[in-house]
Amino acid sequence: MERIEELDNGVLELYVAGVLPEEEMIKITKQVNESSALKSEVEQLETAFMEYAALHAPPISATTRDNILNTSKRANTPVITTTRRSRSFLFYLGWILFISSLSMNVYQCQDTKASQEQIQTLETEQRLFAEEITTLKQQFTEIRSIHTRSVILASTGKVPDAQAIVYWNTTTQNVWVDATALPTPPEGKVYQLWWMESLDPLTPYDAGTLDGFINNEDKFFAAKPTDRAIAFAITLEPEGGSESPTLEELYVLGQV
Amino acid sequence: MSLTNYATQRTMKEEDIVRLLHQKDEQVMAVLYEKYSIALFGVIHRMLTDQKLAEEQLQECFLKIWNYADKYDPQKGRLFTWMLQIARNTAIDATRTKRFKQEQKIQNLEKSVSIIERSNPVKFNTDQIGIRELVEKLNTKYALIIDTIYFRGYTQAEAAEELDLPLGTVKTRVRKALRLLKDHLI
Repeated sequence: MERIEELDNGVLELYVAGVLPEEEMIKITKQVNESSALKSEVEQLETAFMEYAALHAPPISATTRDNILNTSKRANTPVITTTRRSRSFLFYLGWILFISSLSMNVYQCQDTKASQEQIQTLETEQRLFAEEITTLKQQFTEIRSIHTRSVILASTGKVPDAQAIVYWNTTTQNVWVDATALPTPPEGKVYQLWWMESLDPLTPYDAGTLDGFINNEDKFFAAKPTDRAIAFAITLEPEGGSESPTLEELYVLGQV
Repeated sequence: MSLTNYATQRTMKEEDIVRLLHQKDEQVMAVLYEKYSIALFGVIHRMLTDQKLAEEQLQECFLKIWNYADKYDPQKGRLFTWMLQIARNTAIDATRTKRFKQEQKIQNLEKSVSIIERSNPVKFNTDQIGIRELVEKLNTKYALIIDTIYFRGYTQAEAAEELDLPLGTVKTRVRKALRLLKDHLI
């Protein structure tokens, strides 16, 4: 009997695991579809393994679930990651290299006449890319330095999920801010970073506005340098920034 | 989510799910998620052990499922089997990344397979009476064979070589292992 034979050599287990050669998978699918007993057996094996695999699964976060449920929308966007923060620069570098290589491909596909013209443009572009990469590399080295402190700016409750990270190299005094977890500012408004000399009395100093927030894919900004911050904060201000922070619009705050 | 809930949510017929998938109907993701995400996450997490990385790869896995929806051919195996293959490959790819190696989220995949549950204690739902006993009953040799074939996708010949067992033993054990799971889990 087919069924006994199949079950006896354990092939259905391998079929469910999907580790048989394609032609054998096709052959067994056919047999399974023709026999309700075999189908039921396969379903049981599948359920058994799924239950076993489920035992290995800790709870899945709501964010991951939501992302998965929105897969069809995300499928159109090129980058899918929940850890932009730790990879910002590498991603940026990666994109630049990717774009450079695309440019090269474009170049190779052109006929000679057109490519003559393109060479110059591409050379300029490439030089700009190279310069940008050099700058980014320098920044990256500086950010990963042991002299760089990362300060997490936590939500003040205004937007519960808001968060930002400030990287402050105390030797070079340079400051960067990763604003991946801030909502897009409304039209006519801009985020402004402040550094504090003291909290009591509050002595904020302007560290710059996060201009071009929407178009900045990495939401990573270089801010003004500081030599003695004890805390950083981000407020939402009218375009162009403010002289002093609007405390009602204080989004995130973190002490060094 | 308890295993009981998990089991009762399997209402839609596989043919209907496949139809939605092939039509690229957006609601299929919710169905796939409810029905298969925990098992697929179990496979990925078993391999990567790091929660954050595993969740990222689960997203990646579902993205591939969506992107390659039209590539699924029911004649070549069950829908779950196809998704299992994607989950496995996604997780294996992730183990090859520099980040994974650097962070040493897995000390050594080869070793971890032979250590099984001890090196990566399973987080059991304590409400589920008998689960712990099940894994104990399952015995290292059966857990090992499931790990190698189901979680890592080795063919039986590769598994035989990897585990240094005769092919016949691999076949017997994979059958026995699944039978034990069947008896205790469904």
